[in-house]
Amino acid sequence: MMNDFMRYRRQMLLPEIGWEGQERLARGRVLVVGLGGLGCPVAQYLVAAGVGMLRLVDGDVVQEENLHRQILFGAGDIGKSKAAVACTRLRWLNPKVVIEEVDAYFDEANFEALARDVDVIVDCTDRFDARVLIDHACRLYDLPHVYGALYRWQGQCSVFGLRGGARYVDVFGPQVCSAEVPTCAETGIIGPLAGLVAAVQAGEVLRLLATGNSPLAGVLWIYDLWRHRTSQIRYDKGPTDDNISQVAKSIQTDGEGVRQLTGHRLKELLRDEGVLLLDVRRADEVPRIEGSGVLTIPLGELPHKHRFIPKDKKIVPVCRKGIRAVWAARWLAEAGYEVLGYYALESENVWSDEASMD
Amino acid sequence: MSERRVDRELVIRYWGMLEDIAGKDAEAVTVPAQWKVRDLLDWVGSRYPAISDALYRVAIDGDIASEDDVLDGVREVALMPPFSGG
Repeated sequence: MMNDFMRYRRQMLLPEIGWEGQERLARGRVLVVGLGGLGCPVAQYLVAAGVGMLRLVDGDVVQEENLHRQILFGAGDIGKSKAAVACTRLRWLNPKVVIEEVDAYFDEANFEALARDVDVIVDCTDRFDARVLIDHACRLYDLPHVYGALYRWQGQCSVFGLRGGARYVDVFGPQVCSAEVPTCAETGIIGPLAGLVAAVQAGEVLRLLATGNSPLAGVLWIYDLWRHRTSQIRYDKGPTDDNISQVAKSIQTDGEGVRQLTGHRLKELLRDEGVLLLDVRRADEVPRIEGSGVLTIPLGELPHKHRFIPKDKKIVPVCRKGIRAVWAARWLAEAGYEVLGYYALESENVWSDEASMD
Repeated sequence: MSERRVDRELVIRYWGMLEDIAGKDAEAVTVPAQWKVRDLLDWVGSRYPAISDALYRVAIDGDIASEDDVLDGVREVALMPPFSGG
């Protein structure tokens, strides 16, 4: 790092960074999910500051209507992979940083491989289901979740889950997975607001890597650029954590949490007509599960539609990897249903040959 | 004389899409001193039914609140939805 001293000298003058902090940045491994209005400036600042490794994940291509706020991309990039263009620009910006290009969406198939060896995940996505998956990955690998999100002239930022602190789904509830909130494409978004929130996220990542701490742990920071109004909401002492731990206790567990059922056990259970398999995947996910003992309610619709579940049934929520099913199990237990455990379609492919229970 | 707690004025702040539903970013309301968060949300829902269907968290004076928290002495109730854009 001796050779790079001049490059980083101005930030190393800060006593909070210094020589040791800079060395910690140089060892830091960061996963950035989403290369849009937030991901572009986040990546630029982290690369410029000399983090060790940046893994950039986005499966989208550059579109003309992205250019007003996604400032890594130019007119000649339209139609090209965001991940590929971003990596080229960022390598030019700082050739010493290891930059990994992942031209794919962050999803249930790849999240473990992408998240298992990083120090922090920066949430720059524009999809609730991806945010919930980031939450899950951060729980799994005990990582801080540096959250940023935008709505018109307003932005939110927080650091979820630092050293056991409350996480995204604890604060907003599992139904956030498919909450109906209009997107940037529908409601509009102003570029500098994205840059402002991204700068706060990048600042928290540098601070986490250099010092291990963040003042935004347990605090949701909100900024309204139109009115120049800032607000903070403290969530870590809130009732949600208690509620969730109480709920977890009320569910049949095997010590760690909600019980995951094997395919064999599930087949046994389904011989009982009192058992209902609740498919909490979205309606467009295949293969569909058919059968008289199956009900489909996507996770986000549970708060409105759970009344369609007969109260005398014993419930087994199911989804692809089990992530949404666990949350459904917790939610249903809290709502007073008897939950036997959950099932993940991809853990054992009992339906791989036939998408039917009969 | 019987003890009678007086009504309180507080500000409701609507963030994100809730502002679009309510048509305003904030409003001052006077509520009975014994009201809980739940009572206020019922009142909000009766005025702006679409807010009842929206996902949001409630904060009172900067702290996440539950529906059972009382509003006595509270100055601001913020209704905070998660944002999606990135």
